[in-house]
Amino acid sequence: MDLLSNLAYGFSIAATPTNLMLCLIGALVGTLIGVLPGIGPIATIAMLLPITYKLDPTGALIMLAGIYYGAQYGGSTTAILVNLPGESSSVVTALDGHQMAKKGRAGAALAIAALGSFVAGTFGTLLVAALGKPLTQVAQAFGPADYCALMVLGLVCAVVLASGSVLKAITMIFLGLLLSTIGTDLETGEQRMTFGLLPLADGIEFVTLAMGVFGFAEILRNLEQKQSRDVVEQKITNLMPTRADLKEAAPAVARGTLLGSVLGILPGGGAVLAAFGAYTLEKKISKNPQEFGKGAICGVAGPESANNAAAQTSFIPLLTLGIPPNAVMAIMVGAMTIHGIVPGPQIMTKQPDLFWGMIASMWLGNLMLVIINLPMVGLWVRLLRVPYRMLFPAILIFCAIGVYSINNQPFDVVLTAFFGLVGYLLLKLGFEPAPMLVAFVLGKIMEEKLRQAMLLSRGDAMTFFDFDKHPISATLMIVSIILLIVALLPSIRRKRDEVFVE
Amino acid sequence: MTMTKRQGLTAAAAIGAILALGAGSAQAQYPTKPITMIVPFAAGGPTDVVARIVGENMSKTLGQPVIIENVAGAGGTTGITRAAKSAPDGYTIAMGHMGTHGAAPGLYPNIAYNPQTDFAPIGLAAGTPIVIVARKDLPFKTLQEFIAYAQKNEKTINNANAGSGSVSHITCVLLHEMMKINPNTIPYRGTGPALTDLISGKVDYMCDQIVSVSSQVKGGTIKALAIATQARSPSLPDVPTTKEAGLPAFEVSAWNAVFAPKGTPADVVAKLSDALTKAVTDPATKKKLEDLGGVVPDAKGASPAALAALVKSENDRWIPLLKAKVKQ
Amino acid sequence: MILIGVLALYLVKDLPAAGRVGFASGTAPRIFAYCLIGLGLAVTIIGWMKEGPHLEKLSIRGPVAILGSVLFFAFSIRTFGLAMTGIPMVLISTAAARESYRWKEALIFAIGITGFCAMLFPIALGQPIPLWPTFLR
Repeated sequence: MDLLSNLAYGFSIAATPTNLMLCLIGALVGTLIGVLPGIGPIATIAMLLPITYKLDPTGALIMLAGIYYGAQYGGSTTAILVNLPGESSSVVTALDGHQMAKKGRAGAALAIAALGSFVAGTFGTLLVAALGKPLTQVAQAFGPADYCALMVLGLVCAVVLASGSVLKAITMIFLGLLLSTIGTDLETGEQRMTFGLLPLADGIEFVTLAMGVFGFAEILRNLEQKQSRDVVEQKITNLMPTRADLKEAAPAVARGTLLGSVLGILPGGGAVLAAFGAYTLEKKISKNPQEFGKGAICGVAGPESANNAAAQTSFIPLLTLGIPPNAVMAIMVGAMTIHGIVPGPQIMTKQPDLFWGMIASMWLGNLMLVIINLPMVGLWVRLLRVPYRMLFPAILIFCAIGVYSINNQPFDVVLTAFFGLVGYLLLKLGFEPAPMLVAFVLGKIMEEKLRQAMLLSRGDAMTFFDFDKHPISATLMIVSIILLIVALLPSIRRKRDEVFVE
Repeated sequence: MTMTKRQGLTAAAAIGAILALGAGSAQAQYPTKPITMIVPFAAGGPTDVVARIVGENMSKTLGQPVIIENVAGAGGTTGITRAAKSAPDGYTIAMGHMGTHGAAPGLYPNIAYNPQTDFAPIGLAAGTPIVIVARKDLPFKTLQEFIAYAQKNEKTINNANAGSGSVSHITCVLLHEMMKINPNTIPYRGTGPALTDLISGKVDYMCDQIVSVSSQVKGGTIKALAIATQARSPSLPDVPTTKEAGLPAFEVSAWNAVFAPKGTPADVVAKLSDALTKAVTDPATKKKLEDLGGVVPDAKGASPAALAALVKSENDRWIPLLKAKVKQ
Repeated sequence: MILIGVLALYLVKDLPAAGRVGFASGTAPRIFAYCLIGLGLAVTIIGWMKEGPHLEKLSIRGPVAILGSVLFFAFSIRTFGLAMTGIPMVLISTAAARESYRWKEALIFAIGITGFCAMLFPIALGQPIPLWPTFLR
């Protein structure tokens, strides 16, 4: 069969000792930078580019790709252990993963994340190999209006992320949206809400916001509650997930993988949408939805698989069209152009070595990640036994360096401190930061796509509901409306109940 | 590395001195430590790639590594502002481009530097031609047919760009001025998403740097109408120049050039300029840049004087146009 | 609860400068801001009506030390470099812990962690982070 022979060809390229080494190095470096809060794959890949000048292009790309999914995976480790999501897609993992860690089940959470990611990675890789071309067509069908509708659906789902008050969750979503509009306006180049500060001109970095409201706020809260951190320190039960855990998590992994594979194809926001879409799905179909937010294993397995599957399928636009869907892949394109390869639609036919070698190395990289990470679980968990008074200054300095290194701008560090304070106050007031972060990520894309759709339709808002021209958009919009009603109904009813009780 | 830091520095300085002597310079002091080249855009973009290719070769001549520091933001002005304010000792230089040093004063009223007076120009690294590309299924083949079509369908045609202030935005402002139309313009966040929607036919045409679009044109997903240079490009030999296609006034290039902060000592500027000239005339480096579709200057074109003249002519061309045409 | 409403009000105060009529740059932030004010008020009102659990007391020492140490980092990294910034930063932040303060331990730990960061970021990962003060370079 064509596919099998191509895959075999790919493995013959990727499995050379040099390329295997490069893949391993990439995965290791990726895991390292993923674990370090704030240091993202973008800064690291940019720094490592000079090393790759001396490699052949396939080897260079294999290493860079290894860094990319290593970082995706490593980010979840920090999210679970210290509630610090370094990547937008690990925000969701932090929700239940860190709660599991607090219950002494960090080992189980980490292991299930590793296994789930591997399953998802395998499936994602196969999908890229088998259906890359047709899936590109699917992604191409999405125009600005459709994206915008998808983001609306995403925001509606974000309401479900919160385990507390729905009203507060919606408030946080709007706060996130508002924050996302800070910066230079896309169309006119006007400065919006920047207070005349040049570093704000490009908006707020996701990491800055996430480190502040999740990381710093968590440290502040932990410092005043002696109890909660002792729990993390002391009560560590079995390292590996139990049989019951696996049984519970397996279907969640499968669902997450499917959802992630589909959403990953869409450039921009695909991985985030996948992660919390999976979370929403798990929470909705779970028999014990009240467990979510308190350490449900499905709340880790589903999103983790989804985001890793999305990480694989997000290579599709790059591999079939030569268009990088995100900043990390833009650097990979840069690496290719330095090697004299300008990636384009013909990459599959002109550079079969590169194409199939990459695909094979994706799977090998995922395999390596499991091999690297499963034995590390014990080590990570032991890290939690470090007294908190020593752990938190270390987290602080890592965060500070990480945030600084995004743009080499001290102002970003100041901003993180500010958001730390905001996040602390929000926690005190009972607002959850997760919906805000998701809205922040989606808001940027949503406004951009909304404006584009409006410009294309010459200002006709009904374009989103036009079944003839934008069937995807219209369907998604209607689904969102239905979901919103479903989400709001019980809380309205509950409120009434509460009023009666009082 | 088993050497201590001090030993390493001494050794590197010695190598630097030897190389500098080899280059025929009497003063062997500069450079004694790595040189930072600020690239005001994200890693992987066209300017970044040019900077990395040129920087790699320059470090051979200078005997010290040239480290690329990406300081992206505000159409490149964030990084250039930092470069302008850094110590003029030759250890911080910047890769400016047509946007940051040609057009930015016309786009950003609060810009914190003056492209002509706040820098010591080092030299031009490469020009990247602008190509006009369009959806492959629209009923025109040549630039003239396109102009006629666009003028007739001014109300319905959609122009895409990579965001306010980007090269693709300002070059199309100039194009529209010449075509005497004012079409609907859809901004995207970067060239990638704009190209995606152009390929899938949601927008109709755009202008962008050859390196971003050439592989799509070759792959047949979009069609190129004209290239805005004097001569055809080896990477797209079938695409006519704007002169051949009948719009000779539309000749623009997203040039990339090296700048040092104002006040950098003359001998340091001379050394940097020498290293840059060596880089762009080195056959291997030249070929790498040309593979990207770049127009590589000769020794004269890469001189500081030529760059100073270029910045002035570009300022004269862009600032009045953008102040008049782009809302602020 | 009121805080969020006030925050929104403050943000919206800043908006008209940027916004214009029609679907322009200011439209989306304005819509979001108005929704936020509305929701902020709603949350506030419900908060008043329900007389929920009292707010936990805000502690002062932790935030001041933590945020202070981070701000210290921000302001000194470019001039003094990582080596001269990291140690005091860790010293300041450890002061946030309520336990009896142990100078020696904190100092050793500060030097250790700073050294580790210095090895890791600028050297091993090649990040362009200044290591030494500008006057020493």
